[in-house]
Amino acid sequence: MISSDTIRGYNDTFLLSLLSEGDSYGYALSKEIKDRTDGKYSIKETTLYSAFTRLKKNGFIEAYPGDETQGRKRTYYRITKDGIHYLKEKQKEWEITKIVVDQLVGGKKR
Amino acid sequence: MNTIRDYIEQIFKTVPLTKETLQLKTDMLANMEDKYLTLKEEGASEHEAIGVVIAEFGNVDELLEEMGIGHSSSGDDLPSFQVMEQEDLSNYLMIKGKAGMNIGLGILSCLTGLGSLLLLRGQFNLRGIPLYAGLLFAIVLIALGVGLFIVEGMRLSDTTHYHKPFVLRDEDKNWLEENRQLYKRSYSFSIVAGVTLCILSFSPLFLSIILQSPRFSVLAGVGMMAIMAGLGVLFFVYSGNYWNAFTVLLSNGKPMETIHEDLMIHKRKERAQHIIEQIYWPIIVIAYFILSYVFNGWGWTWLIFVVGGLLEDVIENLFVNKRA
Repeated sequence: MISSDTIRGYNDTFLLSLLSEGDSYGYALSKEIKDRTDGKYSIKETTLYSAFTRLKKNGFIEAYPGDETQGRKRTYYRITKDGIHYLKEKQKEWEITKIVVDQLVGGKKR
Repeated sequence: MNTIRDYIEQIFKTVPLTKETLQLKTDMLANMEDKYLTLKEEGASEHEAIGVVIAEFGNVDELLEEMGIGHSSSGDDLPSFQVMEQEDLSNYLMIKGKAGMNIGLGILSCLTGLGSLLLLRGQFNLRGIPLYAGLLFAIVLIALGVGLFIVEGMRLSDTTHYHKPFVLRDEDKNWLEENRQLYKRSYSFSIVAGVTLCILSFSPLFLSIILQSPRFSVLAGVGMMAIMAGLGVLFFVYSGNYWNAFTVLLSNGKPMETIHEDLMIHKRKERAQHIIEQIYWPIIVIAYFILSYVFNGWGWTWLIFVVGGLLEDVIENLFVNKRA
């Protein structure tokens, strides 16, 4: 488990990244996050929906009512063009961040 | 599962209900239930699964802040709503069934008390002590009946929360409709039995009139009629109450999406009914007397009640639909 403080700034990007692979809904996304990280990170329910709200406000994702599955109507999300654009920027930024953090925290000395 | 629902219900209690927050609530609940079911499938105990789901809920303030809404300090302006589950539904059905049975028995008891007294007096011409004994017996039965009315009346007055809109999930709605369908046959049978008994109840009376025999007095005929009619009424009251319970539940059970609106409509309807009861009808009664005195029109002024009755619905609808 990692502290949610560290990862806070990345929740939006996680969701955009997953949505860029295809439309999805709340539980599927949070399960995907947990599964891909082997349970090292699980996104909290309220964090998930804060992120959805933020992303919607910024026009990065759109919500639409999905078909009923298992007797429930779920809200699905799809990534927008702006969202894809933003995701690409974030990916680039991450490449740099990774290096920076590793250089400073990773214990490697130059 | 109910724990999770209660939890969400609790969290959202102070959150203003809008289309947005309602959707959020529905979505979050669905997610949490999915998560719970997955955990259970993976072999977690009920307790563990709920623990994990609730631990992974997070902090609702973070979310509300993001959405630009705060907790409303008082939920006064927003009617709170209840979610009725199968357990609550069967509870109401049980109460109504029991009340129907007991009220029916109460009526039967009263009528039997009265009827048996008439029967004894008419048939055996009781006098003196036996008559008083019979009278006592009748009074006891009537008191028993009245006691039943009071007890059941009080029990029914505790069920008011079923008489305003509540949330009814689709699966529970289906369950209700199925059960109503199953009951339909018994209901029809009871009505037929009730009607038959009530019609037949006249026969002892007619018989006693036709026979004109000292061996079967008219008084005894009336007594028997009362008892038979009481039996018929028991059928009506019991099955009617039980059937009515389904109707009440199905008409007040609303989907989550519209519950807020339904409650507002209900509130307006209540207000309209209040106005009609407290103002509308008294005005009509006063108008009736004034018109009757002024024009000395006792012969036709009663028509005002007919018109009043017809207009009542119109007025109620005006109140309910306006500002919808």
